[in-house]
Amino acid sequence: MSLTQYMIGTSLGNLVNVATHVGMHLPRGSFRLFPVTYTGFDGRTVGDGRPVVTWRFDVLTQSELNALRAYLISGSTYLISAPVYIKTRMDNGSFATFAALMHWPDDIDSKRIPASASGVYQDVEIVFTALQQVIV
Amino acid sequence: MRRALSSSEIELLEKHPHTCRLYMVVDKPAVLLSAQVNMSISTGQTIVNFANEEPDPTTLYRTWEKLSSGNTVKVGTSRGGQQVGTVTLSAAEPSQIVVASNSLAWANGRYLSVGTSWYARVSALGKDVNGNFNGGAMRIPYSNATGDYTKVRPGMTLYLGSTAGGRDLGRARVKSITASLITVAMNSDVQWAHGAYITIVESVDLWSIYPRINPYNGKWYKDEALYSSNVNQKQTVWLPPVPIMGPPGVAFLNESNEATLKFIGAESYTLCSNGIKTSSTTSVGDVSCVIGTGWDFAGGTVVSGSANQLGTEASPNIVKWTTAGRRLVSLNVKNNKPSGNEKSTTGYRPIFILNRPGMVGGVNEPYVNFNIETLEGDFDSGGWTATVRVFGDADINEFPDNAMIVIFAEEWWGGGPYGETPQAATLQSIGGYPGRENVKLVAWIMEETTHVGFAADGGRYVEFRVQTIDGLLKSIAGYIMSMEDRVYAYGTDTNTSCTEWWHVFKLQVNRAIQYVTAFHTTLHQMCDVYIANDNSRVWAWDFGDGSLYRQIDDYAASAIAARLLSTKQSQLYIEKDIQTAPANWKPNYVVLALDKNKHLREKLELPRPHRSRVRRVDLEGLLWNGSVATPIIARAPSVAPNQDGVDESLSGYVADSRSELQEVAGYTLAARNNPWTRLSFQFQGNFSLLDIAPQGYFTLSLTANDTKRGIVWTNKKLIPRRITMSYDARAQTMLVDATLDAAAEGTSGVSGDYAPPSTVIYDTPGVPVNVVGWNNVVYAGTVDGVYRLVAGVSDWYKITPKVEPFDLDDDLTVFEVIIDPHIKTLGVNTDVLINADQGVFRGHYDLTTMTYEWTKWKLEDPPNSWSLNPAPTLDECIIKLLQADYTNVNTFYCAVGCTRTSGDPEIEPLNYYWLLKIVDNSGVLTLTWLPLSYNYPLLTGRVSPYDMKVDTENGSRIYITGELSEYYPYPAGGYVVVSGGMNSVLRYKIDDGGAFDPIGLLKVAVPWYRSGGARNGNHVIFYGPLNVSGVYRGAVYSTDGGATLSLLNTGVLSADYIPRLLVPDAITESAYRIFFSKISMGGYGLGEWATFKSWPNDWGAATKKVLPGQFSARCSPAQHVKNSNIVLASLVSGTFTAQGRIDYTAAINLIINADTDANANCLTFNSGLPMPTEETIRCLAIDWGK
Repeated sequence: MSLTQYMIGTSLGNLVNVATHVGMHLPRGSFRLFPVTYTGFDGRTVGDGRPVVTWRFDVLTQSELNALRAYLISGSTYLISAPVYIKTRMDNGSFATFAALMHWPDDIDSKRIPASASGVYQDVEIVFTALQQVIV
Repeated sequence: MRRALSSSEIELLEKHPHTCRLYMVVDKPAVLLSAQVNMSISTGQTIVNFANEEPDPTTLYRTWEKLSSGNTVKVGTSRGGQQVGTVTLSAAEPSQIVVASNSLAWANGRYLSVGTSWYARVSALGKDVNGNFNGGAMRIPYSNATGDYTKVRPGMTLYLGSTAGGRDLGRARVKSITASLITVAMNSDVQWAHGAYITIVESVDLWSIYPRINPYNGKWYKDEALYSSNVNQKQTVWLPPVPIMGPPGVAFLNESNEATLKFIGAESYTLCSNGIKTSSTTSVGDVSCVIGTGWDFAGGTVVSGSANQLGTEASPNIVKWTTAGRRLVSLNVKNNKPSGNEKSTTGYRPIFILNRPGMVGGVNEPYVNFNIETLEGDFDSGGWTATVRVFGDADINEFPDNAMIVIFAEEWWGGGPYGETPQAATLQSIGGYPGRENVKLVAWIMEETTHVGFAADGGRYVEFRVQTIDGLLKSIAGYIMSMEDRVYAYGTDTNTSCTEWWHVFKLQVNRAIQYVTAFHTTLHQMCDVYIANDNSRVWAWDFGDGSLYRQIDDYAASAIAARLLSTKQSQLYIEKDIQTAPANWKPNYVVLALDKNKHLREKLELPRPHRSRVRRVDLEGLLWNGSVATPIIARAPSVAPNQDGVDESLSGYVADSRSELQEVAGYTLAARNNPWTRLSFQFQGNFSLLDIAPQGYFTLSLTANDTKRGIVWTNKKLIPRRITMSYDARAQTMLVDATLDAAAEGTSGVSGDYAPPSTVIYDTPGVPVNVVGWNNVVYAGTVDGVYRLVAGVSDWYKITPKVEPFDLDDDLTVFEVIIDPHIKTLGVNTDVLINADQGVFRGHYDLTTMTYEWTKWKLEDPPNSWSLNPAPTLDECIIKLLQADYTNVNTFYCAVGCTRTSGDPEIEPLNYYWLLKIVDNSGVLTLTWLPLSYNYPLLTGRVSPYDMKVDTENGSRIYITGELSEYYPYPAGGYVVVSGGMNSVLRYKIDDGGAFDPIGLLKVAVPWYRSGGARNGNHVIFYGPLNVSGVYRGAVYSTDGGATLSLLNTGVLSADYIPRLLVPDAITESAYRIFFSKISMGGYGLGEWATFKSWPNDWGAATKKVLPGQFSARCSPAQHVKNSNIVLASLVSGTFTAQGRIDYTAAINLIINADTDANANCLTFNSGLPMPTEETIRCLAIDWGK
């Protein structure tokens, strides 16, 4: 049995378990169904927009980080964001598969532990936006 | 929205979550042709570039416009020479001539000339013989071409560069193209050069079209086209149709590599006035817009419909493409009449078939790496602006300068992640042109800001400020233009028929606007223009200086309280403000009845002023039915004003009826005092359907419990005026805030007070007095110098100070003032000549210092033609009848008279007169004297002149009236004619009791034209107290220089009427105005005037109009005529007494009458003139611009 249901891929056909990239350093996912909310005239809260997911990794080694970053490579160039497919936990506790935009954290260098010679990162958050659920 | 939202659209709006993803396309038109300019100087060339053109020595006008096809062009090695040879001219343009086939050895610097009219030198393209830039070429031969020139269409853009594909040397609008020659629109700044690189792109841009007037014949050209004389082709009768084809289209290829777009052209229209008569008996029926050559879908496959049908919203043309790329689609529509001469217009729009981002890559993917910082539409500013921040590649190739961008959306409604069975969202866009609902912004890059953050985490991006089509219109200046209503399409009568570019058949509000958009811009080729279909007649309109936007918007605002508005899709609406529009112009539908719970978010802010802003509105308008203009005034709320606020007066409205004006006045008052304006709304969901045009109503209901103020609204109508859209790229939401005005609730006003005044008097006019037909400048010669008046700008002020060359102490008594018609600066007559007691002086007006520089003519003593003893001296002579030769520069004539007593007290003093010709060449005078003797070269039969005119053909004939002065008593009414200028004799007189029997002194007039055609210097009219065969006629004319005379009137003129002044019309040069005094009314009574045209119409039978009392014909009037108006200046006198002198008992004023209704619109100017004494003012001169 897999350690987790979190998956990632560049297409539905190559979705892989995140554990294949990060081993035991599995993420904790948060799911925001409506990134924009506001109050209606009658006091109801209304939500709009596409869901946003954040994967929070307590610890990632440099090689694990690089494995995730590989999803942002276009040719020989690193992108700051790129379309991916993920399987992630929704706020009802179930897992579902989504098309999403994966965003590389702006502050990744500040997450690096200085004493780690080969590179260890703490509290890395990778955000996925524009989630559109797909039926696998 | 021009309709109510459908129930399904409302259902979508209320679904959540909504999501919106924006994409951006930058228009990078394909290169259709790359080539090089092929314009070396070679033997036998037929397109010859010239430079170093010598301007007209007096006016400094360009002179190539004097040339005409068939002229012989001399090519020489010296100025005026033809050592190289001659060749026949085919056409002449600003810096090029086209000549017949030849074998001449053209070379740079060769001298070109045509007669004495034109001198220039052959030049290399773009450079004169000194190597200086000389732009303006319009015919561009080319070679080394790649691409397909047959795909180039009129209106496309040509770039010129110093390298292949470069744009550094300028750009021009292509008008036509062949395999070897490109013709472009007039230009000045394109640095044409042999070998320069041409790039023609598949794009039709917005251009301001240059109108040109030929200063030598007064003919206008629009885009180098003359006004057509063929009634079926007259440009201002049959206005071209307007294609409506929607904004640019955008679509993604789907999984099957197919993309479809809808094309709808059914809203194309024509503003041809219906029922046009092409002759007095033939009438063309209703004109409508139909498909012309149809759609060109640029390689698309028609899935539904046809390229030969316009396409409607219900049945659109659906076209499919299977490969990505930019295409240029076109639609040609035409009028369906007149048969064989149907005008047509072709519109062009780019469409973009795109690959989805990340699929293939390359130029056919839209930009996604951007954000919209601001996106805002504003009714007051007339359009939309946005700031787009681009994070990815943004170099000049990715985002060319001035490029058009299209931002489009995919919008989803509802749906979302719900476990294993997510509900599908609905993909649909709402609002905008049908079939283009996904297009959220069509705009042009106006400016950019490049950000470079220095810090490690500093951002690097470019922000572009983009603006909808109104921004382009605001950044391009229009050209001044005038237009006047004409009743007939056919015919040649310039007062009633369309014979010039500025004559518009049935000039209506809508046709006036389309005149600008069609003839002065390329708008109809590159965007949709909806013109308010207001066909109220307009008498005339002047579009003044300013941007294209200002010209149209100002006109629309003034004439029909409308605005020029751009939608976010860059479609233009000239649309009445629905707050003030008459009831039948207000929308009769509600776009959406807002549900406060389902459609509003966060808050509602309802400001309300406590005091009214305007208490009364006076609205002045004009009813024009094609022949009669009726001023009308409406007032609101009623006769008495409200309590609060200020008064507001508006003018210039063009109404169809008094009731319409009253409605507008009432609604205007209501709009000004509207308590519910600038109401701040925030909308739930995606309300990107909102736009500032076309205007539409939303409604909202509030109950008393909804607000602390207990406001109760029941379906309150609201109008969006300012819209802000906020796009969140991460959340993929589009939230919309807007400011709305409640619909003004008013009632119709009442008719305002209006009593036509007999004289409107402005002691000190506060605004320019724009009288058609004169330059607002009048000169008055007085016993104390010359005074100048610029109506509406300055009061009378003296322009002859007591400094050199004038006497430092003595007053200057001025007998005559004339304007030199040939000396102009920037089109302004700058020189006046005065005949005064201190001599003859020339005054030159320096436009820079706004002062006059005076020089005195150094005239010599006359020759002693009659061997007088002592010989006559100039000091003892009088000078009179000073006048300019209109056809020869620097040339003037006057009569110089020497008076000697005979010694016999029974005999009057003897008069000896000379005709003096003066050529003033920069102050160096050449004088020619001709003794005025009837029997010349015998010196008997001396003539004392009374009036004199120089013919307007070539100045070779000087017509003089007068009396024989060597007999006593002088035979009254005798007149003579000088024929052949200074080289011939006085050869005709009628004072011998023959058929023509003057009973008093006659005057003479020379027409511009007799009745069309070329000027003829042999045409002349003599008028005054004149019997012919014992019957009082008043005037005779001659077509042979006075050798034979004919009756000017077929009827018998009432002997009451003595024609005092006859003035040829300067515009309608076959027409005349004649001014009478009625002697039956006790000596010299009221003046009257009449118009007659093209003899031998019965001028005596022409309707006469009584001039106001100020215009007693005895009052030394100066009058000039220009087009249908007269400009008549006269001194206001008191009563004419029996003693025969003018007694200035009243203030001396100057009256300008500027209306064909001589009893109206008299303007009085008196401030600044010398205090009245008898004969204080001796002469007047009106600058009438000729």
